Amino acid sequence: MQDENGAAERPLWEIDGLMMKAGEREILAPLSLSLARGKVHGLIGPNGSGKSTLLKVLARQLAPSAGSVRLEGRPLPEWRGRAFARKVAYMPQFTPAADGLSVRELVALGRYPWHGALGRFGDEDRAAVDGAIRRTGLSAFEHRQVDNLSGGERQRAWLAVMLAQDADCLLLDEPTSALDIAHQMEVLDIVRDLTLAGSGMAVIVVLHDINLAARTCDDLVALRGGRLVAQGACTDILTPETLHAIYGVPMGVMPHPVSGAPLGYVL
Amino acid sequence: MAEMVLATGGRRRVAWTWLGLCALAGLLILAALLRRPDLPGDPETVRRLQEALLWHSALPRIATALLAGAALGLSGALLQRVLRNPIADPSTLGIASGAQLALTVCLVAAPGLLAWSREGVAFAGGAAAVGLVIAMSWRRKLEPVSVVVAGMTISLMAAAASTALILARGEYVLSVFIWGAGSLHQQSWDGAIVIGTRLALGALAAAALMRPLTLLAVDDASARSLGVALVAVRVLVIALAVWLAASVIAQVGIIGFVGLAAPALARISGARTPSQILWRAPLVGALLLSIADSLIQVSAGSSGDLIPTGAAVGLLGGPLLLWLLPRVKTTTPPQAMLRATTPRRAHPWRMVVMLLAGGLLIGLVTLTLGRNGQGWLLAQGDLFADLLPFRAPRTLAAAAAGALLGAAGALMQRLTGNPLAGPEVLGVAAGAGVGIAVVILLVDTPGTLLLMAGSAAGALGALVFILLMGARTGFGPERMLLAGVALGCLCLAILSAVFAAGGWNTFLLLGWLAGSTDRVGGLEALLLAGATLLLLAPLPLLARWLAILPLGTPVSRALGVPVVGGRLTLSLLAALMTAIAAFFVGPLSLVGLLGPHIARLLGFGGGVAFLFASAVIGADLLMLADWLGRTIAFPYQIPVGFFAALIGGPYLIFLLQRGDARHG
Repeated sequence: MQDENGAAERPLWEIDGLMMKAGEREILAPLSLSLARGKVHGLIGPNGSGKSTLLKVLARQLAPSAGSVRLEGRPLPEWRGRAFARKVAYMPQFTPAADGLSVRELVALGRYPWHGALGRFGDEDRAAVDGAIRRTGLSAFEHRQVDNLSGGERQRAWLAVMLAQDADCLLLDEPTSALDIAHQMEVLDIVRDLTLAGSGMAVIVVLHDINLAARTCDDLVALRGGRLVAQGACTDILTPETLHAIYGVPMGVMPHPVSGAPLGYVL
Repeated sequence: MAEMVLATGGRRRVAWTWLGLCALAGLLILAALLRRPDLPGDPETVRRLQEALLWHSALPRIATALLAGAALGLSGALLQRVLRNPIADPSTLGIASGAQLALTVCLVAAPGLLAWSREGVAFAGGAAAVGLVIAMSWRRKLEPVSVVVAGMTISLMAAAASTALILARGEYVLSVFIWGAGSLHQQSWDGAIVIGTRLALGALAAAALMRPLTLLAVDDASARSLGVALVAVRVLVIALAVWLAASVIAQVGIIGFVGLAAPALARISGARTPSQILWRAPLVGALLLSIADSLIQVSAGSSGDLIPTGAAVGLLGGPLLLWLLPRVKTTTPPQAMLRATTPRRAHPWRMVVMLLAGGLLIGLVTLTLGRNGQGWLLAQGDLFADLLPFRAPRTLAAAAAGALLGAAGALMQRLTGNPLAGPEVLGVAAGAGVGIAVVILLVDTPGTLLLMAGSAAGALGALVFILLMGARTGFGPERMLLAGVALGCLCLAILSAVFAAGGWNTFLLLGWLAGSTDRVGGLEALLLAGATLLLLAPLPLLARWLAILPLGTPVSRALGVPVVGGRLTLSLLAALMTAIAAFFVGPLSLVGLLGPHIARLLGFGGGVAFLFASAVIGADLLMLADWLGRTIAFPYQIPVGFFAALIGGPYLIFLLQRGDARHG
């Protein structure tokens, strides 16, 4: 909301009065917020807070019950499938089995939004695939079968698909849920670096762990029971009061012994 | 308070419904008893005859219907419980067809065994079938859809084998069909007594197993930690269910889908716990079969029943399955997806070319090598020229049909991510059969073109139906597969009713079911080949959809692939291929399942090369089957569809087992 006043250009995402219902149950209460370019936004909140649902609505995997979502000022339903996929890449929480594909073949599928069903797989596509594999550190694995990779490598391969897609915005649904701490860092550091080069790319990532989120993201959006609890820079969110409001348990905050960044803990 | 009133109100309504159904069954039984034929002759003889008929035919029939229905209901309830699968029953698991095949084989090969124990033979067949089904779907963790698809495949194979026997032995075994379709005619109390004692024993055993059965509701790990001897209980319960079904089949033949319907209706009537379902399902089954049988008797003409009760009940099966579909959870464990069993080939197209060359070689052999009265004969020169008009069309037709089936199978397996999906189990082929049956019934001596038109119309009808069903779920592959299976069941029930009605021209239908290429003329073969090329040509254009769609809806949508349109296009293509091929080689050949599996075994991982390899392998297989079928039993010809199924079936099971061992 500060963005709208501060930034000269329009925010990438504008969400207005978004509602989601499953039968009688309200998953997202009327929700309004906007998300800027060039930043990593973390979606946080307890289980069932609607953060995954919000991400799926943004990815057009779910149609909202009411309200509107605009990407670059254009309502989501007006985007055509491939044009939308050139702007927004989405990775589901559980990536499917890749059915015998090699890493390179899988990553090449990310070029579909650009060449379509019949278009030629040209030099530009090849360069994008090379770049995505390089940036995710998978060069040594590119001819291995995806299903034979370890969990962390597989997650990086799917991340490479999104990079090859060359989209302006990446949507990640708990990309680290099945990984150990080292592999979590590996994946999240790649995500972190994406926005650093001033590419204007935006990342929206659902994360369970508040400290991982604070370490990875520029801004946090906190949901609870489908409602927006807080939005702002990590340092603003990581206060005992706000964390209590988000998670419903008393929490404290202390500075990281090395970096000095705030760390949340349960009292 | 209000809830309690509502609950008792609901219970009262259920009680009234039950009472109403019982009354209906009773009334229908009375009506059937009253509507017995008038007999000519002097009053005294007629009175005594009527009395004898009442005591030794009519009443046993009523008792048999009630008891058989109850036994099937219990069998279905047990199977659904132990496999945690709401669409398991003796028909969908292949038990019925397996038992029937075993009985048919014995009737031909060892009639003495039948006299000794029909029930034992039926049990062996049913148990073998269910064992195969479980072995095939073990790798998919007995996931409901896969179990039923495997069951249908086994059913089809058993049906193929039975039909082969019937064709070979002519009218002698044709009576098996009438029996096989579940006629409840009785001449004595024997059948009722046998089924009754089995039912009583089965009910006792089920009661004894009630506790472990209740615990099976939780997942395996939890059940094991609660101290249930999982494997032992499973095997015991399945054996019990098969035994119940087999005893019914041995007495009265196949009565489809009572086992499916009874537990489902029991659940609707408010049964929640396993014990409630297990007690109510037999009651519902008894009522259901009794009502159906009485209706058949009431509507019967003077010459006997219009259709056997079993076939009539079978007609209920398809709609019932479709109705149950939305209730089936189709959770596919992500690890259980298809995997290449061999390392990927670096140059897949070279292998395709090699397979093509192999096909040409096989074609050459087929055209030249044959048998005559003296022995093997290599046709050359004039003889070759004389034989060519006979041999070339059928070879071409076999190759083209095989290519279509192989490609359709590859498409369907990619589309559904289910290694058991094949064009044979999709109802399209069976729909074509119903179209042919209609033509045969309406026209005295139909020509090939008319039959072809009937086949196309039937296939198209089936296709439209499946697509309509699929549209409700955004063409979700598993649902489409199940809708196809359900439709296949329905169509096969219709076919078996037509067979049971008899008449010489049902042999025409049998001929189609068997799939024979010997009636193919030159023009038809060329048409078929042209259609094949036309349908295979667009495959390279669809390669990217085929690569992305198997990754599931979320990923496909995220990449901007038109999910619904893509699936619709591919399904339509696969169904068209199946319909055309099935007209020539019948619905049973299994080539559509085999082709893609062999391609995987050869190291084709996916993509267009995989599709074409499957097509070429399919063509090679069917040409080979056609040649072998022509020569192996010379001077008799074994229809190509059967021959492929009889060889391919066991090999397919071997393939699936192999994958099982490797991936655990």
